Amino acid sequence: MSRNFLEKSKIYLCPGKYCGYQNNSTNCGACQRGYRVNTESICQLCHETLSLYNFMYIVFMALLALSFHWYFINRLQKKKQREFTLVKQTILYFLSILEILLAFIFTLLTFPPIGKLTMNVCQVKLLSDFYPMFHNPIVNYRKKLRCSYEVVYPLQSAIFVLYTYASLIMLLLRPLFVSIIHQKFISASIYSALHFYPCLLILHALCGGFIYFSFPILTITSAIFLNAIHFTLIANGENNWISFIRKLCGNIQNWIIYLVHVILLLCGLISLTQFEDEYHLILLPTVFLPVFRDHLQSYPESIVNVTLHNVIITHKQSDGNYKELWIFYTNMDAIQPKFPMKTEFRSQLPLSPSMSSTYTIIVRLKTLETCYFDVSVLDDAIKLAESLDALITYTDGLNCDVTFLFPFCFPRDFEVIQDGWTAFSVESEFSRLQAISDEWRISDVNKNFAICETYPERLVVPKSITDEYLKRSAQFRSHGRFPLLCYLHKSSKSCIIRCAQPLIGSSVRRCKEDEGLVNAMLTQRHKKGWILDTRHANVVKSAQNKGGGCEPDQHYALWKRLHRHLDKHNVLQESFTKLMDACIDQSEKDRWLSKLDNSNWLLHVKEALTTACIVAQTIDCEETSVLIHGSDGWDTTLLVTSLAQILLDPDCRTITGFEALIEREWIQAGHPFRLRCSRSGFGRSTHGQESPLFTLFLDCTWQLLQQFACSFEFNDTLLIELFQHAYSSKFGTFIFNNEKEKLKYNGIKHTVSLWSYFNRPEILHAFLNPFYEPNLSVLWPSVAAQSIILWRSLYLRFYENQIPQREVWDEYLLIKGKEIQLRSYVNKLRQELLELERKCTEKTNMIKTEKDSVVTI
Amino acid sequence: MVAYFWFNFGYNNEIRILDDAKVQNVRVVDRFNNRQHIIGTIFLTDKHLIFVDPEGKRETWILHSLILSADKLPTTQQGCPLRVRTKHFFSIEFIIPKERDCVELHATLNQLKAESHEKLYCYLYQAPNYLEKIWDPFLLATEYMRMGVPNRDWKVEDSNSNFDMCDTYPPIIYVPMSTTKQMLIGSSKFRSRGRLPVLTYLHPNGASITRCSQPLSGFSARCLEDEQLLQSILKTNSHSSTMYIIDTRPRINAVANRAAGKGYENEDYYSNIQFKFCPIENIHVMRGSLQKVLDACEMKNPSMNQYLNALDSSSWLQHIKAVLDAAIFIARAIDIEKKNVLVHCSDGWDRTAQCCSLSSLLLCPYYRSIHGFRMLIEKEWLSFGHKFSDRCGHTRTSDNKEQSPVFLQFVEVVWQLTQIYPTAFEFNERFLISLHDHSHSCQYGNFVGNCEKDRLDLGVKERTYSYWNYILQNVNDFKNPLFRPQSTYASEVLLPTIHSQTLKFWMNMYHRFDGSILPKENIPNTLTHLIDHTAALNDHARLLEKRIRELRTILENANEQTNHSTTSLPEQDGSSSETEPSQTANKNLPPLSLSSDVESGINSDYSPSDRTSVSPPLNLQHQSSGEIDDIPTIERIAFELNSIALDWRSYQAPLHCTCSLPFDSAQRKYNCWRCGENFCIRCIEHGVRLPGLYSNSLAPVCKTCARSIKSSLSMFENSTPNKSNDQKQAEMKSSLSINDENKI
Repeated sequence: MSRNFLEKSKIYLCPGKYCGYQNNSTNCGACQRGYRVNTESICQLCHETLSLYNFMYIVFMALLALSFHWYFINRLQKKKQREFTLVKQTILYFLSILEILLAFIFTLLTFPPIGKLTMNVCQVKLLSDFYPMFHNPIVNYRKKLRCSYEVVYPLQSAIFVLYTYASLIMLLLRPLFVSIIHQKFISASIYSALHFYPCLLILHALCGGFIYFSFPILTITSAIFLNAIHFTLIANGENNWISFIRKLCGNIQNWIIYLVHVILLLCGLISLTQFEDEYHLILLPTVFLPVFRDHLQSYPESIVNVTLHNVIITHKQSDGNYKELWIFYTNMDAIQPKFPMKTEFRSQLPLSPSMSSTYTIIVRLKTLETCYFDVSVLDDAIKLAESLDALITYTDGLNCDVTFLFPFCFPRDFEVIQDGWTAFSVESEFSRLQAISDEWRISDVNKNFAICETYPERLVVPKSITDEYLKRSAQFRSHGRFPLLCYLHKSSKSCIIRCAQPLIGSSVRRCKEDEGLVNAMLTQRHKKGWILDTRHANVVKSAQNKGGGCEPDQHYALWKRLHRHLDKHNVLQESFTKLMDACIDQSEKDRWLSKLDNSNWLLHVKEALTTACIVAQTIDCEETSVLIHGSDGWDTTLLVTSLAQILLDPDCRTITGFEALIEREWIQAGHPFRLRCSRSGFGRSTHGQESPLFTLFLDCTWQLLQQFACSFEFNDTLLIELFQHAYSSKFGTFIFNNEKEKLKYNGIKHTVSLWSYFNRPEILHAFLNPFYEPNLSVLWPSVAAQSIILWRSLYLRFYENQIPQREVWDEYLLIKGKEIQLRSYVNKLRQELLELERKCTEKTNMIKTEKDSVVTI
Repeated sequence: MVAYFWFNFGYNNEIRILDDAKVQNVRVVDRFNNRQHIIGTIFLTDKHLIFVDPEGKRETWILHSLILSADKLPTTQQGCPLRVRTKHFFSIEFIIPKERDCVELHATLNQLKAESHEKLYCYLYQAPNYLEKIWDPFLLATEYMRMGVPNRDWKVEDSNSNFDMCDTYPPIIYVPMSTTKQMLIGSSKFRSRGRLPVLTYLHPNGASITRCSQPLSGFSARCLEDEQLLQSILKTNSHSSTMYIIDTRPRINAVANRAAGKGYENEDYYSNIQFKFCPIENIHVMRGSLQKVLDACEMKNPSMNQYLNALDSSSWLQHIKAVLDAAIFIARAIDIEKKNVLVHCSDGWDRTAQCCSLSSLLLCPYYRSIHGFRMLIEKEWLSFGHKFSDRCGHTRTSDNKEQSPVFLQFVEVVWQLTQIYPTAFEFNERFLISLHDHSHSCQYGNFVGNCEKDRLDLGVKERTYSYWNYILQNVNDFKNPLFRPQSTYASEVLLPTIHSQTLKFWMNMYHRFDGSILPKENIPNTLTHLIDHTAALNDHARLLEKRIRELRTILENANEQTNHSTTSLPEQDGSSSETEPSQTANKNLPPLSLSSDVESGINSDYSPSDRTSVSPPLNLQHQSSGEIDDIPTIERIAFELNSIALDWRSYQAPLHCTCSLPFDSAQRKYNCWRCGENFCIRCIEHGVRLPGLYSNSLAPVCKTCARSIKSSLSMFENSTPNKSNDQKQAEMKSSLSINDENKI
């Protein structure tokens, strides 16, 4: 509903930055004073309270006038030294301070809210906000729409008002002191002020915007410079230090000037830091008494605190204790404010009783849950929504520092049994490999990420290939991602290789070293291999024009080529968004199945699984090696290689094996998790690099789990947990784009690995599949359309209550446990019975012999 | 696939193959793999069509009464295709090389379909021995008694005992206390087919569900008796001053009926009623929708979009949702609003039956047990006259336009509920599927005929087997292992929130014969396997405990004997004939009391509760005289131990039964309790008493084991075994070593 509403209004957006619809008017135009255009082209009343930065700006302008006053008073003293005593001078100084102060207070009182020592300010976003007249749009190159108004109301007019007040007060105040100070001094000071005030006004009118954005720096530099100049002037002519210091300390005026400069410097510093800090994104730190709810329960009368990393919702439980809920910005996907703006708008939220007076902010989380903030004050609601939106955009942006994210602040609150950072090292994987074949070695060719930024530093390469070859090959491959072994099949010794596209270009370059490297990976038995390109042949052609391409047959004679197109990036993201759209849609009219069909998500699942099956078939049945690449080799390539390994390798179906697979095939292989998972099913990021590839991988794994319920050591809880942690986590495993980044930010030291958290018995317990029976054969799933089903426990988690599922799993564990216990009990009983039986026989025999002996006696 | 048929439809050894009804070189195309062909032979018997595939060792049995249609498709190069579809969603396409054979087969198949009720399969069917022609009498009165009826608001009315008021109602009906005979007769004349409002469910809070058919109101007709009847129904509930009348038809259908002199209650005439339409489509729309679902299922290698599109355009799930929504609405009205609800549709036997039974199911936990569910079906569907024969098309003569998947929808909605509340229902998916299939198969007499009167006329109770008897005999197959009557999640009254996203497509119903696309390993089957194994072990453990107790008493007695050197001792079978191998060992025998203490010490570790019964004050004479027959011998114990497998073969492991029948996920595998291997239904014998079980109940055992058990049992009974001690020891060792192996 809210989506529809937003989209509807977007169609009728006004042209130009500052044109908008005024209340109920149908034409675009300038907003009234005190109003500002929002993103939906509607003039909104400015509601922001005076921020410190804005306050400092007005203070700065006031100080500017004050300093001019003082300067001229100072000059008076220099001209007419004798008559102009220090007392008179000080009185004048104080008079000017008083004038400016009064003017300042009056200004604050004048602007709305009238009568209060604050003002409502329209947010200043850009320099151009000060100069809207330069941004009047010309509609259809004909008619100029005049939309100039005071966008930054009242920052611009406030200064004019301030100066007017100041001069008026001056004209009123100073003549009163004629008797104390001589008339000529008063008139001189007033004349000078009447000269510089207009100058200042003109300066402000022309350069207001520049001053606004640069005044902290101006203040700091001017404070330093003036101070320096002042001291130089004092020091002028003095040869020794002592007399200089005496001269300096003796004059109280110097102290005052020094103090003023220090204050100026401080003001500048405060304003400067204020502007640079992320805290400025938070418009409203605390909201009291909203109703916070998610799909399960609602928490009335909670307090919402907006902090730098998360929103903390404190709510009072029934037993009187307070409980905190944390929602991280990294977990927020989209903010959908839902304010009843028009009369026909009716609240149609789930769980929401028809409360017309509340303003709901729907927060869609990346973990596909939804929560709602019901705020009763419109201002608060708007501020909350805007703060959240700004913070999400900030944390997801490309220039946001990784170290700002929560995993870097998360203290480890459990005991690590096995450190996840070192659990899946190259060495341990290599030792597994060596058990199968000895034709491989570990190479340090990528030390310091010299030849490939997205590969780890140590790599497994064929023994017969030197590092020089690898370097050459890396130059030939996109992003230096040269062919790398990722799986060696035990029985057939055929392997899966992944890399990036070769840079053959339109001139069809070749690289002998690369060919040698690739051929060295072929098995001895079957001197043939398949190259699987995850792009369509047409896409390859266009890539070739841009310098990429696919291995040409004539140079790679031992290889056959196969194209299996798998969508990625935008197409996949769009599909995921549509899927989630279908999932959250609660209207009865639209057909759920057709929406599901439209999303094409299941099609992507089917395609990915089919491709993986083709690879598995080639490896296991045809016993030939497969080389897989797409364009960069860190998206669809990884999807195919990892899925194929799950099919082929029974080890990957254990919990540790699956973790190792993700570590090896996704994290170390350089899947840019931070970019890809910056948004999930609801929002769009600014950089547009997000794509749910990892989700697709988990979904495909779930399909396998569904079809082979007993061949996996884990259940779907593990997959859902992984999904959540990939998108939003307090652990450092999924927050880097590649190994290099992890090393750069020292992620190993500063963050905790997810695997350390997972691999503890109490956590692991929830992931165990009680029906697991190791299945050593290759899995051959059905990829028919009828077999691909929706992963309800993830995508519909928003609706479906998970409690019965959990109850069911507990029951499974119980039943299995009972069986095992009974089995051992029966075994014990049997042993005991046989023992007893033996004794019984002996006893009988003994008695019998006794009897016999009695008889014989 | 094969075993499934036997499992459901009584595999019978006596097959009478019809003369000349054998077609060779028939080809069957695998839908999911076009290149793969199966070549085999079709046999026709009087009950089944059998397709034998000698290479894959597969047999496909199709019961004639389940065949929905046999269509001859246009001849191709390879031969003449004949597509056979069954009522339980199996579809197979035979390609017969000679057109003449195909035509003949087609004609025979059509002829073999029962032409009248008298020739239905239930009269031919010979059940296995353990099933008897016993009809556990269903008394409507007991069911109403359970609900607390008659009480001061409701009374029994037997004016329909000769079916003269309404021939599709049961002989006794329940109506409000304040009604008079005149009111009932008047109302029945005003209602379509005489189906006047009668009580079907009374909730503990006093609200009730009543059902009827549409009034013959037309545009202006009214009936005072009917209005009075509704008023008296309203008065039975003191909680609310209004009642709901729910018309389960879409409004437009109801209005259209009005033009035909029927329609719905006029709110002007009936005071204090709230009228509500629940738009469930009529039987013709449902039939079309199901056909589209089946077409979607039968698509050859569809793309994802085609398949989803086809499912979507069938609107099947939307219809299911409509039914479920109506049921939830009624349940809410009853439980939360505490209002009486009157439900009707056109005739009050299709949609009304669905809604009434489903809302009862939601409201009352009793109906979620197997026994309660049976009561629900007996009451709402059988007693109140759902036209099973017409809707399922039991006979050749029945009208195609009368067929409709009304009962299937009910079963599917129940399945959807079991998916939402996995722990709330005592029965499992297999039960629901079996119920659906048997409503079509006519193997049991329960679902034959259109109403109680029909079944009385046909004499089903005398001449056929009861389906419920079959269920009771195999109740373990149909139990949901997760069932918890007191679940933390599911409350007494289930009121789920249903979105269209919540409903799943029932793969195991519509795709159950497409083994290749179903999950290869599924949890429910594995769970049944685990539960069975636990049951076997539990039973066995109790026997072992008993034996240990017995031996210990013997040992203690023997101990006493040695101390007091009494004369007699319990003689063990066969021990008298044995010669003592060593006499020297006797002198060095450790004191028995000590050893038995050690034993009991071990024992107390895991069965402390048995300690009290371990050493009862036993009179030796009594012991020797009374229990002498029951004293376990070594052979006996070894035999008992051998009769139960400690470990069972993994449910997943074998792909073929020993009879080389390939397993697939749709069919149930049975574990032999003796050897622990997996078998198909044909290779397992159900009624064998295993000596290793305490409860002496019947257990499934494979044929080989059954034979050996029987032979050794007879050996025990007839002659005392004359084995030497060495032999015994060897046997004991072997049984021990089996244990050891199993442990490894």
